[in-house]
Amino acid sequence: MSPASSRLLEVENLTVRFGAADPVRRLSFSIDRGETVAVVGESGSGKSLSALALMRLLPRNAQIPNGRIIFEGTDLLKLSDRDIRKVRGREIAMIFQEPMTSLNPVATIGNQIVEVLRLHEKLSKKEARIRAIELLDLVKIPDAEKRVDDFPHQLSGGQRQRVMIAIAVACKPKLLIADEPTTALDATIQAQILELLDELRRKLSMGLLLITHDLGVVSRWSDRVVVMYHGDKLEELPASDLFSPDRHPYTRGLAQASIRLEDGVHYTSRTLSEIRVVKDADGQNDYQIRLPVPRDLPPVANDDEPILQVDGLSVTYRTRNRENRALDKATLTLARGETLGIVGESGSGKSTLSKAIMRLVNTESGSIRFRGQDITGLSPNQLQPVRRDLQMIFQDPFASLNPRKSIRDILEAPLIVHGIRDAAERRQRIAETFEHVRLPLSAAERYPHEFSGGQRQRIGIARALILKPSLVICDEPVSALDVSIQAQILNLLVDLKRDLGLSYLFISHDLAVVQYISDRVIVMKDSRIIEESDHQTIWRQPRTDYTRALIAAAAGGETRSRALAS
Amino acid sequence: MSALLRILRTLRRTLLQAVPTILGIIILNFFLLQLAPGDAADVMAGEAGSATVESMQALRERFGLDNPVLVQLANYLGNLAQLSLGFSPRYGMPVTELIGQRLPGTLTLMAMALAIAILIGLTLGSLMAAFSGRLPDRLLSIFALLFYSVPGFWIGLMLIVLFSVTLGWLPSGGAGTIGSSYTGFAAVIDKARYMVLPATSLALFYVAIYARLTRAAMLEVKNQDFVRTAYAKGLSPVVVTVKHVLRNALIPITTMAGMHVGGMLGGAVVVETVYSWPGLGRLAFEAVMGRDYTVLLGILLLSSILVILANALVDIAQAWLDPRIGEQK
Repeated sequence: MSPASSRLLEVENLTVRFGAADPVRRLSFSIDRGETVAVVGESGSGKSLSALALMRLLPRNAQIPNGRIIFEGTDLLKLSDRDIRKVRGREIAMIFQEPMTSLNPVATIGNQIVEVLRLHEKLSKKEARIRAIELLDLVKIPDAEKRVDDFPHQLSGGQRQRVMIAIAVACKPKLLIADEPTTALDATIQAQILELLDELRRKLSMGLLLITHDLGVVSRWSDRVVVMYHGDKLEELPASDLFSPDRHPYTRGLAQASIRLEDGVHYTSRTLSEIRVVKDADGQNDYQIRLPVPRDLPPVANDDEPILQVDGLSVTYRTRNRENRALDKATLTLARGETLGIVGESGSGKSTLSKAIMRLVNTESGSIRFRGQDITGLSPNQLQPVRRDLQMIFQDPFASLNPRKSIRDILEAPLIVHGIRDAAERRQRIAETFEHVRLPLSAAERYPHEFSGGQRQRIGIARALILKPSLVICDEPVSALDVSIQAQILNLLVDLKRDLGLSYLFISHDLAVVQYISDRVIVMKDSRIIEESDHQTIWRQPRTDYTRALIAAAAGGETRSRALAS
Repeated sequence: MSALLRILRTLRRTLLQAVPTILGIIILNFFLLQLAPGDAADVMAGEAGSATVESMQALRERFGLDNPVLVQLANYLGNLAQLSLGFSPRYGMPVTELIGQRLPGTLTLMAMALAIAILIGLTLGSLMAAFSGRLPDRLLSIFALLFYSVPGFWIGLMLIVLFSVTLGWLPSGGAGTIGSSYTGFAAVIDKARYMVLPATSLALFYVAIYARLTRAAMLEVKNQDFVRTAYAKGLSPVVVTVKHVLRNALIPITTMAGMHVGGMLGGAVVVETVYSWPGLGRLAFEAVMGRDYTVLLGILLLSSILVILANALVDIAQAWLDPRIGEQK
């Protein structure tokens, strides 16, 4: 094959404009037939907009003032609306991040596949249905023949993403764009989906454009990588070079800020490296990496009375026709100053456990002892003083702050509820807490939408800390954050724990994060605690197959890059 | 699970809930009407102008109006158990028969008005959503606001002035040509000519509501991820709108339509008066003026059954539209 004809897509100087802002600036890259190219960047980097621009699916108020998108010799930007529709779904197909919402909830999955087949391949209804079943088979949906008439809500997230893939590859496209295809999925499912995509790429000899923030995914599944920051392409490199030292400082920062399971870094030994981007005097971005600082924290002393003791705790959710045991006889203890990591996939009961400890759901049996006091049967009034000591940090920094209240109002509310009537004292408390979470004091008068995701999470942490609790439950506190922000927040949580003598119950689906921050780890599956160990043993000598599978799935992302690097 | 099973399950639940609801409505209505001053005997005596204390007493005795309230309630419920709505002192005939005469007229009027409202409302709403923020949307919004804010009787009168008086195209009132001998298709056409104006004036208010509602629902659905998926398949905007957006947008609209059946019964009073349409609304109005509580109770009971039926229909429509409703959890 000559070099010219092996080129599938050539993007030249693509700029995307919204009003006065250009969220993508002069982006150029290319994809060869059968090649996997990854575009990596954090939120706001313009990676998803670039992908949508390729399909001409940008929102109506977006413009493309200059640039060319040459697909098989044709400039897609010059095609009529009618002609671009013949490219979409047939020549170039796309799958999206959110499998839960990317399928039409009122149409069967079969019909949603049939629709694209009938549109582009002019098949009869019957033929299209047969092909749809074959496609469901191809993406490994079990019992395809029966499930073809299911509705999306009857499928799990991973299965829905498989259906999305079936729709995308139905007409054997030459290019498949996958926009964060596995971000919303559990680790074990994530690996399966990526494997499937790679297998289909080979089978159908498609080009694959993989858009992601996850460096582990990139290094394992792609050939070349385009790194973007804030609308600019910073560099392009072979995936195998991603973790090598002579990269663009930002790429290096990203690589260092992402925690990997194999590195075995623990909070007691060092901080995580942080990456900060500042504008220098000429208005150019200056990428600074704050290198890890060694830390020497003593291990937790276990002689004290534990701060939290949960014994045989069960929770059952009842609807009219069914009961669902969401938590089954959970038993755990948490020492003063300790961080207990809770790992599990969606539906494993880890959030129910945290809600039960917070007494936000009714427990069926078992007991919760907090600071020596049995709080299982306390009335809401009796719980009031306990709650001051028991606070929570939530996952979504966007949804968990009331958009109509200023930060001061948000932080004052718990103080007022807990009887701090003196306005000066409240002001003092807020100033102190801001100092702890490293927010400027001016932030108090502003509203949540004025802050970035990382800053909002700091506000969420401030809200939890303002009552000076002794136990903080962190429910996926960094899952919604970018890699670089994640490192900052984790470092902050460790500092706060040391300075304020906190204990954490740290819930996450991300094993690497849990490994870094936990003293002990609990693994949950199907509403049960199936394994418990200290933070070293659990990774080295997992006792259950499930834990081994979790570790394998999480570590999978890095094995190839490791192998290539060494 | 099959769509039919889902629908049947929904229906069973709705019917089970309907029985206590209807009983509650009857008892509540009965006591509410007892609170109103005066009774049928007072009005009839006043109209006759020559009533004596004895003749009024006789009237009350005849219709059981002199019994204690609870006995009256028990009598009424006893009648109901025999599927009788009682006897109207004023009209001198059984209430069931009285309502039976008026019900078909009102039902057709309402069905017609609702059909017009939904059809035009959906179309206008879809257009507004398709051109949101641009000129067609703005213009239609103004019309919607107009229909929404102008009272029904005034629209009715203006329609009469325009189409009956000035243009002479349509009759100004009544339910059919008096003394006509139309049969078959001609009779239907004749009926329809009389129905166009009242149904339209009853519908316009709801057209405005459905248009705004459809617009909002469609704009919301349009921003959802699966619509982007549909575009990524290469579907044209029209197909995406009809097959993916509209069907999802219909779900909130059917909810409102069900709730509007009750509202339309109220609106029918005004429209039926303006167009001298022989329907339930006017009967209800006359029953109030004549303190004929038996008739009023009958109408209220029937209306509540109508509303419950309409809601059952909405439940079924939703179970059909949305596979997630009626699913065994």
